Amino acid sequence: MVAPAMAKGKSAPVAEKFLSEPEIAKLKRVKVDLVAPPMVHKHEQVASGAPRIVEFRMEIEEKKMVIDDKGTTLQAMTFNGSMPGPTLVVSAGDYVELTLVNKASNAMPHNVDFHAATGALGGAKLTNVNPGEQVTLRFKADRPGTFVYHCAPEGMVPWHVVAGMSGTLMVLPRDGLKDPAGNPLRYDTVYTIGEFDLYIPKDENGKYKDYKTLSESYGDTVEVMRKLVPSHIVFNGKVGALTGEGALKAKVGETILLIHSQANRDTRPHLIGGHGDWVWETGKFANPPEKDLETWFIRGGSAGAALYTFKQPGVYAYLNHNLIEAFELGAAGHIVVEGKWNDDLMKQIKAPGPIVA
Amino acid sequence: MLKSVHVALTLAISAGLAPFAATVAAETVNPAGEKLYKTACIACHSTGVANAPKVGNKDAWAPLIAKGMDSMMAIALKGKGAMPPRGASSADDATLKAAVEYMVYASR
Ligand SMILES: [Cu+2]
Repeated sequence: MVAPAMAKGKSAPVAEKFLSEPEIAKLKRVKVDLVAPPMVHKHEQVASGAPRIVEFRMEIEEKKMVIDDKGTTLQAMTFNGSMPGPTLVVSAGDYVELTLVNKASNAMPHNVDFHAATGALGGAKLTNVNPGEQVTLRFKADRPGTFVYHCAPEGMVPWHVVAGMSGTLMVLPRDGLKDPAGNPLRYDTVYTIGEFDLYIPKDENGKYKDYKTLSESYGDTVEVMRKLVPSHIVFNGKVGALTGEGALKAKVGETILLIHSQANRDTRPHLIGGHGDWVWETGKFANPPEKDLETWFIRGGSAGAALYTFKQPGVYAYLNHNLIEAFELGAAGHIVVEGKWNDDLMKQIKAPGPIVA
Repeated sequence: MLKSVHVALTLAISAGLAPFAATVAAETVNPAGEKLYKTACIACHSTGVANAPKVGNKDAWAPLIAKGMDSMMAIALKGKGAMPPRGASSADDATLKAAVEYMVYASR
């Protein structure tokens, strides 16, 4: 009845076949509990069965968040209380069925625009919810890749996006990721990183302003936005969110997939001391990935993905390689890698010492 | 459908590029009203987010103005539909009233 695309082993394209409502009603349903970034909920890398309807639920939460170690605050808007919102994973051909809840304690109307979806402004037109309301949207995830989702209420789209309302939907090919020769690529761990350009207003003394309510932050924030110069650029909601206790972890020999989303502004990820073994910088898995990248490029309004297998232990930095944006404004995190040092790949022949003639 | 979507997008994109306030004479009674409007209310009322009556739109405001200040203040205080109580601001009643007056003034 359904989906010829479930065949294992070869890259069968998802058939351009549109199911009727009774046919869709017969599909298996699964409910997925989302987890907070940088973690990603458990999922299959190769789909084991026919397309399914995958149910998700996200609650919108407006809240004041501290975004640096100086106590600067952001009147933030979030999906599920985190920046970015949680990453949703399905396989191509699956249906995403999202229930979006706008908590009664919020002040603003919201909605959601999925870049992976087709029609109605990405779903935004069909998901407008006022505080105290919820709505359910279904769409077919028929294109594999990492895709941004974000809030987009008519008339105040950029504000809701730069205040935190974005995340990633990852649609895996049913037969998993492949290199350009068609060989399978697999990961042991997946981390999701959302990069946010923030526009915090300053007062006449040059100090960052703190606002009592979300709506009172609006007028000043828009003025800063219009200058196109972010005050902070952060990974996952805060300067240093992915350092120290929050650092990502890996082991020598382990392959990680790093998903990187930026809903508003370009960025250029780089792993110091490592590489992108296989990178889909535009994030769409039907295209062959690029190999051996030093720095890759995520267009504002997209999500990309990079695979890397660690070969050396130590503390790596993962950052936006405009180094001012990384080290001055906040767009940097750490990956702590355990394992054995490889002298063949790198060796310090002589430690630093006085200059000898 | 396509056309209305296009119009909606154009509206959304042009939002705020031409702040109406520039065309309004700065002779409002209480300056705190204009300040609150430009800080908070403007988020929805400059472009008509979620069907908010757009400031400067005479037709949208005429029926509200006809019902009187008490009726408009009741909405401003308690909220209505997508409009949160006090416009989700922490303003006091007097400032809120001044902001309503400012919007009314600019929408006549
Ligand atoms: Cu929103």
